[in-house]
Amino acid sequence: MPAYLAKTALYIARGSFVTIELWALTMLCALPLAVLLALIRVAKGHRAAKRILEIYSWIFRGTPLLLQVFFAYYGLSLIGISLPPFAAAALTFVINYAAYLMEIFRAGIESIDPGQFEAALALNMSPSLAMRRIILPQALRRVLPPLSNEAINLVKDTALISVIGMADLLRAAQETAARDFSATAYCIAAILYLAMSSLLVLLFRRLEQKAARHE
Amino acid sequence: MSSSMNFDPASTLSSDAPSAGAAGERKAPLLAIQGLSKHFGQLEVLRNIDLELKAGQVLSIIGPSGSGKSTLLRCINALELPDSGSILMEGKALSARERRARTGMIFQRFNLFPHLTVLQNLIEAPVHVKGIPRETASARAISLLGRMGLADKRDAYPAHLSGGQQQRAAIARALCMDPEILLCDEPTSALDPELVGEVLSVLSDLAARRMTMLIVTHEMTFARDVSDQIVFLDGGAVIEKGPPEEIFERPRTERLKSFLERMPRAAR
Repeated sequence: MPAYLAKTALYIARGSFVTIELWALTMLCALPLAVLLALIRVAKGHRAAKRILEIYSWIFRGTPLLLQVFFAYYGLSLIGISLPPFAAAALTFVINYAAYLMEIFRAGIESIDPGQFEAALALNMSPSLAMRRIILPQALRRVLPPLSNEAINLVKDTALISVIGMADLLRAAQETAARDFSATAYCIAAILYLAMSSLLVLLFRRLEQKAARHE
Repeated sequence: MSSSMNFDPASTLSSDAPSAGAAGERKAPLLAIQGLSKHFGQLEVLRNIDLELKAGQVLSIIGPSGSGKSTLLRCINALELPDSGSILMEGKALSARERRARTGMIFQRFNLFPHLTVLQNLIEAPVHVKGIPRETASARAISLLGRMGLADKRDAYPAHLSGGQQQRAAIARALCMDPEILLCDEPTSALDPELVGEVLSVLSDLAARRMTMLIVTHEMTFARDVSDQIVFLDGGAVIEKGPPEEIFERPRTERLKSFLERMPRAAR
């Protein structure tokens, strides 16, 4: 029995590589993209760009991520653009998560007292310097709790790519469970997901404590 | 640039005074506001304002709430754009950035940057806007903090300071940019009564060192003591202006009379 457990755990853990890869790639690309898009949303002018970003946010936050994954993998291949499964998944996840993160950053920036921006301008900072040095650092600290939520959600959302044939954590567990007629594999997968999200909870708790120094 | 490299803030401030006094008659005033008007929607906030401020002088703007006092200050450093009229410094119309480079602003709500320590608040703009080396800016900031009685607070975050300490730090932050004019927008209105005195004494001290200041205030005794000129603003227009003795002892208009009578501790 212990040998079976070890073998199964190892097999499933190998599936978590894809999960972690997708998680990291999505965060790495979506975070800076979202900050950039949020800056456009709060800037003066840029009417057309803002409208496009609102529509983008409306579509990607208003439809299931699973549907978007299907569209990127199967849908696009119907019109001649066939992406490998991981690329299709990563692309979808980045665009989807950037939409949520953009709204979080936008709200965070808008929540900063306008007096902060005025004080920066009065010290003759340019608007972009004021944004970079004064507003963004405060906004980033303020949005840590919702960011933590998104980071944890993303761990779980990666399970969706098992439906386009990726050998991720969930799929590894599912295959094992079906082959061995045993729920053990599901339990192992649950423990691995829990470990990853707990790690994130701890990480964000640290970040929030560090950010709270000035309060 | 040379004055910003100066370590002693006192000499920096007083160095302007003699030249201003000597050439007082011929030179254009440091600040001249001509025919300034401003609307917010239908509301006429400022109506055809004319003002002059010479270097080394203190001008206080008094008047009821909503009379346009703050808007006037905010127009001077381009936080608001006037609809018409001109703002001249030494006779020249300047861009927003040029005006901000020459003026410092003290806000009612202090507006210190909460994520930075007091010292970081002070050197942020000198380092990142003026490109002054960090050590030079820090030395200057520390000496100013000492003068404000905040020497021991340099590494504290604003949230850990009292309102009076925050406002004094904000004054030091503005001075670190070597402004030619300090604009003070109700600097003590957000303070607990027992903290008002420490901020007023710092401002009085600056006035005594011939810092040019434009102060919007409800502190009538203070305004009378430090000002060379008082402007009474009501309904967006200048109703009276003159030296403090005239304004407080011999108000000419009914509006100013009744305003002064309504003030809790009118200066008489």
